[in-house]
Amino acid sequence: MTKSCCSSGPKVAAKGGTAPENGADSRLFVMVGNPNVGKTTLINAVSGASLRIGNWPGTTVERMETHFVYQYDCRTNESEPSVAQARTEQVVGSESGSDVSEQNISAQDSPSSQSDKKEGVGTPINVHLVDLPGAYGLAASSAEEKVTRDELLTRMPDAVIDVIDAGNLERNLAMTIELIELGVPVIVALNLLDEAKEKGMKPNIEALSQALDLPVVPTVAVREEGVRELMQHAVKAERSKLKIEYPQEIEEAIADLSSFLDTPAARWLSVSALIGDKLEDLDEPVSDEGLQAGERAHQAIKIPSDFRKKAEYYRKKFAESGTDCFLEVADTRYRLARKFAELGQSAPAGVHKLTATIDKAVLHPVFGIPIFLFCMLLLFRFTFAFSDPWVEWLNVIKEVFMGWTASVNMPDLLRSFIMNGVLEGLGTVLAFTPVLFVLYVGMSVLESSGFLARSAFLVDRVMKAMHLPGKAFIPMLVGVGCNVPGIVATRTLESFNERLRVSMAVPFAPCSARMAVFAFFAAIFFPKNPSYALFFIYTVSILMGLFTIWLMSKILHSDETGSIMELPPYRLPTLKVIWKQAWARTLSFLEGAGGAIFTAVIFVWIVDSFPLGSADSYFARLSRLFTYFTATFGITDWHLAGALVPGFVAKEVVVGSMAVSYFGAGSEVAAITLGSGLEHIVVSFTEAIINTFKAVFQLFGFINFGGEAEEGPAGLAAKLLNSASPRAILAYMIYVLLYMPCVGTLSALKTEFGWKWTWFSIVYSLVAAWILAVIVYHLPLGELLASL
Amino acid sequence: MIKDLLRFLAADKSWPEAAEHFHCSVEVLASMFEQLERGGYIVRGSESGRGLCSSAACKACIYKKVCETKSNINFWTLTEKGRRAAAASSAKVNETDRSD
Repeated sequence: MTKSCCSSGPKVAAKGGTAPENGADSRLFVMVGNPNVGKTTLINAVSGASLRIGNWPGTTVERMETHFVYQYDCRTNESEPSVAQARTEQVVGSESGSDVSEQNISAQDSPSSQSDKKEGVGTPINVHLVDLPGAYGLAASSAEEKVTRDELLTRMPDAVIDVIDAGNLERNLAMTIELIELGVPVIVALNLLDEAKEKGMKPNIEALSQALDLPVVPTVAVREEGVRELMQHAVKAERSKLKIEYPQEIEEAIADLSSFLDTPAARWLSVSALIGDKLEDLDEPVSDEGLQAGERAHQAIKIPSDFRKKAEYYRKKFAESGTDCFLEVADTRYRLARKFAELGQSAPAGVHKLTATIDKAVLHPVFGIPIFLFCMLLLFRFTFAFSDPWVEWLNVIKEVFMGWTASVNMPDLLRSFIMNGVLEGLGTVLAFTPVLFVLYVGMSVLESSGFLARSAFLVDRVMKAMHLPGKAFIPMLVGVGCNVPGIVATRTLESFNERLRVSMAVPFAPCSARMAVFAFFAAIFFPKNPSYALFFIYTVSILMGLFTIWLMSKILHSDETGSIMELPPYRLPTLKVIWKQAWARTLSFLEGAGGAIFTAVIFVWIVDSFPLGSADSYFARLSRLFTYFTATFGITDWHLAGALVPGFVAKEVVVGSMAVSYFGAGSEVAAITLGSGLEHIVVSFTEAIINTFKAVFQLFGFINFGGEAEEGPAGLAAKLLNSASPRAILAYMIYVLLYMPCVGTLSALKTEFGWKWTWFSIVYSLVAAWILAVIVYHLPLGELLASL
Repeated sequence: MIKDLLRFLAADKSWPEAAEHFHCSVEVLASMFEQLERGGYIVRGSESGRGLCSSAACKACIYKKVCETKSNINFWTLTEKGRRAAAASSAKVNETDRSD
């Protein structure tokens, strides 16, 4: 810090409209800064108030004002904030059209006990300190910026305390430059200095102060360091003499426009008008209703119509001559911010070191894709390891409910409906809910940490190599959740051909509905490592999607459009966020799929139960016909083949339909008592908890505490294992993955592209599914995955 | 600097390349993108495609909550104005290089 503060005595009279208060001078100070720079902590340290503090951006979403008496002694250069009358209160007035509210903080929030604090010798000054919302600029492009801009322009404070993050100078100084242009006296509070030093930065305060021609006061707000000096400078704040130089022709226009205005903010207003910012609102002053004694009234900024006309003239003139005023101004400000940041920081912040280091490996042109695939494999291992105990538990509950149903006296047909229709059909699907939940937990971790953005970036790279616009991967990514919004998301692509190419690939993205089916079969047929089977399916889906896009690009040509994807820094995700996301998605799946599964289960139970008493139901007869086709990829059991039929409507109904058809009208469950059933549930719950802990070790393949299952597979699993081989089931899974988009997706395709392309998608997917299923069946992949 | 970024974007460079080229923090880079967006040179899109579908397609989707809970992956695309500005800026740079 270093701009002299005591060359003259403190100003006695505050500017415009400030009412006298207790005979003492009044000063209006305003604290501004980017979000999350510690403004609120600093204002509390300065004033003794107790405003709310948070460690997230935008804690101060309101305009808050605190008052206190400050004892200033210029002669001895000793000054100290004495909180004789600290109070924080609601400030009346609203920003029309803004959703930023003003907060009322009760008197108890202020430490009134501090009123008897030692008062320093010297001149008492009534300080009105305004805390404004965190903002990145004054363009009024957000509610926070508008509040900040209007406060500064209409009240013209005696000093603006610009709080900047010492560890992120370049970003923060962009706002400082705008404040200098605004013509207000500024003091820079270089906050979070301790954190910057911990990062190895060595701020050069002297150089920064000289460059900005402003006092720069290092502060550590949490420890109240630098607070006294900050106030000392605020009392004597002066405008910076720094001149921000734009290209000559723009400077001439600014000079001309400024001549129409009689305000220190003339230059900033002129620049804003030239770059096309809206200035209309400034004609209206902010309401001063309920103004307290000593508070400064808002003054309207009258912008003459001649000024507006002239600004319009210059904008047209620049547009004709090819001078892009907006770009020139923004460019100049960013260059200056960089220059000042380099001057003020011996070790520039540069790129995020940890992020850059991790990205070097994760985004590597050669190793990037293998790393991504390994992470996906780990995700699937995690999914099965942690969900398996809970799948077991839900299966026990299902069996107990069936046992209870068997013990109740009721007509056989009703018993069959409850046991084999509702409990077996719905229960089998519901039992796999933990798989989805744990998968969503893993996905949330990847998303929140920033990894998913990297994986999208890798796919983006492949897309570009295939001469597709980078953002073509977006619909594919959306399609992993559900294909329907994936199709709709192709609207982000500009040309019809681009949209069509990607839309034909979206139905191959493995949506949540199909995930439940794959998890079910993988767990039964590949019990050693079901994650490998799931990983194989995902890999096939990605390759199939890319192949389709490539194939379509041979048919349909379109121009590339430039786009760039943001890669956020890596972050450690919070448990709360992960839990919330995973839970919301699981519930969404249950709500969304529940109705379809229930309907399909009822339908299959009916057609499989009639004609009554016959061993050869309508459903069995139809399904047997279908086995002539499915036998080409190893599926000869009519229950498995038949489940594909309702699966044409929605893939999630495949497992439920198959479970119902296997048990038909027959009941094989023994009756159990209420107590015995409850005991089963409690015991298996305890086992599930213990096995969840054991899964930590299994995840990394260290020790398998769980050991081999003592009992062989029972129920549906046993029936399935007798019906098909692992290689046939793998081919079946491939067929389920690829065959025909669900009804919802077809509807979206028809809406977006019409019947012609919808039919194309149906035929293409049916052919592709059959070809790949046959190939997979004739390779020993199933046996290989089962043995791993 | 922001003009350089616009040219960089027009040349189809990636985010890591931009961060490395400009040697700046993610925050500064993001703020420059926001400035360009404010000026109408680029438009922002997001992974979920939210805001794009006012049709019944998403409203009727049974998995819409799954979609809504997705975290956004932001990407930007040059607008026609951005393309023109980048081309004009490149022409000026080439002219300056030739005269040097």
